[in-house]
Amino acid sequence: MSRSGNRRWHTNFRDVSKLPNLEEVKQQFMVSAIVLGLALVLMGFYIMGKTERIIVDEQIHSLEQTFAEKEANNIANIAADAAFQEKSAFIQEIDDFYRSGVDPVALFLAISSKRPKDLVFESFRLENVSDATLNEEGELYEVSLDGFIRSGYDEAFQAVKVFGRQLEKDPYLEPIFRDLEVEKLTRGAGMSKMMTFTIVIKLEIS
Amino acid sequence: MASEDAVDTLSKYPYAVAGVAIIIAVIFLWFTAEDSMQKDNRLMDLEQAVRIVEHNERSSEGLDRDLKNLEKFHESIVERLVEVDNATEILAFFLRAEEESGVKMKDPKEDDITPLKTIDEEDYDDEDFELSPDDRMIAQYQLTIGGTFPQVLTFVDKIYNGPYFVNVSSFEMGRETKFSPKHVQMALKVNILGRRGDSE
Repeated sequence: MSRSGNRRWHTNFRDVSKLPNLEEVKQQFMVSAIVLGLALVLMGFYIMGKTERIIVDEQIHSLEQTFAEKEANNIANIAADAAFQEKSAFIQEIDDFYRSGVDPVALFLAISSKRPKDLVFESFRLENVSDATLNEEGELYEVSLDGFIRSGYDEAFQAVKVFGRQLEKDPYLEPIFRDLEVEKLTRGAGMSKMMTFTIVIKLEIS
Repeated sequence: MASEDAVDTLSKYPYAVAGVAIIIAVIFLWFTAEDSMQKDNRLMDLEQAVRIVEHNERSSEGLDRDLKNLEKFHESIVERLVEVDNATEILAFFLRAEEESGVKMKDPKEDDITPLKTIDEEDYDDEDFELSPDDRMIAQYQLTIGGTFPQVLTFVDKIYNGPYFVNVSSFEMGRETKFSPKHVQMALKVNILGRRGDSE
């Protein structure tokens, strides 16, 4: 038998009229695959979302429980804090009042201890000069000292300057001392070797 | 005829029909489900609330103990607040200081009673405004004393560091010519912090 004779060895039994249309089968497969794929993707998203919701629900439940357990304690803490703030404000108010003034004894002692021997004080005045309308934070005070010194003008002026420097270093005055001004330094009437003075010390209590 | 064709066509795509049914069901479920945004917000609110509660818990460690100490301190301060309307008690305080220091005091003069800064001035001027007995008030007094310098210092010390909260707003001290040269005279204005009290 020749090789060409072998090619027709299998008989073709296909009944072409009963076979389905191949194009139609392809179309059915493609449409079903696309729609099912889309449905599966959507379902996947839905399941993911649902799972997330379940987790969120569990978290909400757990947080609600935690909050409920701590709420009573929290209310008590807030009340205690409010009471603490109220009492602190009250104490602060008293402290502000107390600290807004000058301790007169400490002021006397500070000025007396730093007074040069030649300086004689005749009067001592303390005045609160704060201007409430300026809404300043601190209280401003002026201490006016009137007196005399037995010396010439230069020595008197020098003595007052030394006095000012000494006051600045005083432990009580140092934080509140702002300035020292010689308001008046004149020769005393009828006395050749006496200068009268008025010194103003400015203090600020913040 | 048309419906038969449609059924015939659909019967050729059973999987596609099932897929479309699934898509419709999922979309339906999606829209009828609870508002996820609402839940997310609730979760965030709760997380924030729990964070605050836990922060409060941490911040409040030892608060009860501190509050008890503060309350004791507060009580001790309230005890030191004189009733500003009770002039007898305030005068007795000045007289005690006079006796203990040895100065001579002229009649103390009550200047004014004003509320502490924390009360709004406009409120205070209002006719209908009522002060509570616990409102802090300042009683201003003018005093004039005479004595030796140490006596005057002792008097001022007893006033300033006495049982009440006092600050000295101004004073003027000079020689008292009537007495010996060692004597000085002092005029001072003092503010006594107190409370209104129940006397009105």
